[in-house]
Amino acid sequence: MPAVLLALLQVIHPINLFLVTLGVGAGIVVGALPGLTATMAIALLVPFTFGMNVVHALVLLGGMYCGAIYGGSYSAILINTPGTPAAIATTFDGFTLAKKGHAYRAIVVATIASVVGGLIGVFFLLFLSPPLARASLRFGPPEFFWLTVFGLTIIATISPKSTVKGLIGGAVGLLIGTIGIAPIEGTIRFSFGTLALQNGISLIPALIGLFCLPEILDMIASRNEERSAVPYRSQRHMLRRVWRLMRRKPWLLIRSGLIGTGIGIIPGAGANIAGMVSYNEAVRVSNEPEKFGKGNLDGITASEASNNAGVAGSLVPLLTLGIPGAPPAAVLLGALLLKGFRPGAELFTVHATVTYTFMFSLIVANLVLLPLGLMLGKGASKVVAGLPVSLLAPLVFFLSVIGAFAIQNNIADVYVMLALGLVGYIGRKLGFQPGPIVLGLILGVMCEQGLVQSILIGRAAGMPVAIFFTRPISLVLIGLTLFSAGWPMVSRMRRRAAEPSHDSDSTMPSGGSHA
Amino acid sequence: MRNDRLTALVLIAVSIFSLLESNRYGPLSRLFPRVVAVALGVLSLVLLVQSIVRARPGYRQKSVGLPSASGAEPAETGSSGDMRGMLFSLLVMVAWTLLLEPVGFWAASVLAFSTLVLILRTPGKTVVWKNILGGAILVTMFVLVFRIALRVPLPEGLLW
Repeated sequence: MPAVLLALLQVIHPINLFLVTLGVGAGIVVGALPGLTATMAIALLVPFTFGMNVVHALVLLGGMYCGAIYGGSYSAILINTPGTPAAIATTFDGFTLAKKGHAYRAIVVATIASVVGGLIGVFFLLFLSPPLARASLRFGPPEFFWLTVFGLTIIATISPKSTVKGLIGGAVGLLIGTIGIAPIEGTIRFSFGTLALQNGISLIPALIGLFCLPEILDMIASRNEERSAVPYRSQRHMLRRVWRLMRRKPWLLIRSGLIGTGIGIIPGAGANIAGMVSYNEAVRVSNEPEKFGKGNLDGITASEASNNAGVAGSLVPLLTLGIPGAPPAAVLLGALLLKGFRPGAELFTVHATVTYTFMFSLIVANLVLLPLGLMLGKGASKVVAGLPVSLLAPLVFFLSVIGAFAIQNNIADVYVMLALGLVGYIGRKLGFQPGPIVLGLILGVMCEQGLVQSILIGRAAGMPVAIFFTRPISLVLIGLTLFSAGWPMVSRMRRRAAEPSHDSDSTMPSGGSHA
Repeated sequence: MRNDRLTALVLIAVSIFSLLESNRYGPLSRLFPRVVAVALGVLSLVLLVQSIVRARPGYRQKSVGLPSASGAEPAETGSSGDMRGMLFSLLVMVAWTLLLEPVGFWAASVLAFSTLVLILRTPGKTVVWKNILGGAILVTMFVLVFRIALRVPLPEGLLW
């Protein structure tokens, strides 16, 4: 295995170590800014790598990818706005903790979870790439359709106060997703003659608006100059304490890592969905599901371990088949092609040293994440805590505006951000959370494409309905959907049966063991 | 609850409108919006019925469900705090986005940022000028990074 040995030597070369650290650091900063996604971070960096040799370029871009997905957790925790869509589920428990003064604790949990999840993902990338990539290719339109339906069942989990309102939010998200060009026929829908709506509603401006603006407005309405909006409480030995709690639940970390890798591998699904699915599973398996959404460390662990595992997961089909598992991976594919590398068998034979160096550099990137993430996280939480609302609110809004604009250099996106922000604010007052709406928006396009393409394929094969119910992976996904949708009822019944013997002995929220 | 009833009626109207509007599209383009619109309509009806049932006296004793879901109205419903300051700030934010193109990204941002600092100040406590200056420096820094390093063509307008 000289290629592997050579790759190991290359990866510990000071220049590569420096580039990984630089990539991770820059990625964290970009990922933490609302609106600046991992995709954008990598796309912006690619031109700077033109002059570099391929190993340096890949090491830098890989580090940036890891850093950016992790960095999204900072803004999710500190200002209730996912820095990248992958961190949506992190907001559920992270921001609640931050408001109680435990922002740094939440960041430490997110960091450890990201490192462990990331390493699980790289393990699969290193050892199981080819078979996993082949399996991912079995995902056709019907499977994508069922995957999105399964994804929608998460709504029941993320809206515990009112499932009906959660589902309505999801439907509104799906409906907003239909604005613009229809996937197959190309008809322009619901644009009302407005140019700005013809291309549809972009996810990132919608995400910023729905999550960020209501938070800013609430921050302003309830401001109190004596007290910071997100207070910072310093505690000694935070890392050791948090790690002691987290290592009690290895299953939570491993399961979330596996879910993240699995969903990352499926082309098109990506880390955005991985965090949510993993969060859903953590709630479902937990003995105390009611503690989620109220500052439960397990919720942050599930979301962050999973979205960082999705980074390496999305590279599995990319390196083996040339099919990116997620949008940032698509930009990485562009960088690879620019360097004259074609994904596929060649990468593992002729260019094996380069490929393995890249994979090993992802291990380094995840390890670097720990000290760098903790350091930057502590700094970020102190800075946010130190800002009075009169400075924090305009600053967050400014970042929202610039983030919404920069995604497509389009002023219409800023208007969309503002309009959906108002919808989000009014919705919040009426008991509708932004999570389900955004989930509907993310899944809508994929769901419609799966539905319509399956019908077309089915019609051609003479079985327009049967195509949804006859393929093996579809059947598994249908089973999962039924299980996930029916679980809240089962758990309610079990809870009622167990109510008389009310014994709560654990002090920490659980989630480690399988039910 | 009254708000829920009103919301449900608005959403039912949205669903009916979407159904009617989607009639104009081709068969493959209208399928999905229709399914979603029907789902939205049905769910809104459920919300309507739920809110009427829950408004009846004596409902709470009968309520079932998860501990957190047992007929609880969202805690956020009540309006609280400085609503006037919030509305003023919202107006500034709307003006901010509308001025980006005609006035320029940098100028509109510095102007709106400073106005917000002024609106949100606590008299006697906030050092206004320090915050305005700090805000202007931050805005300028970000605009420079986006314009020069990241080559994002932020609108220049009249005043940059």
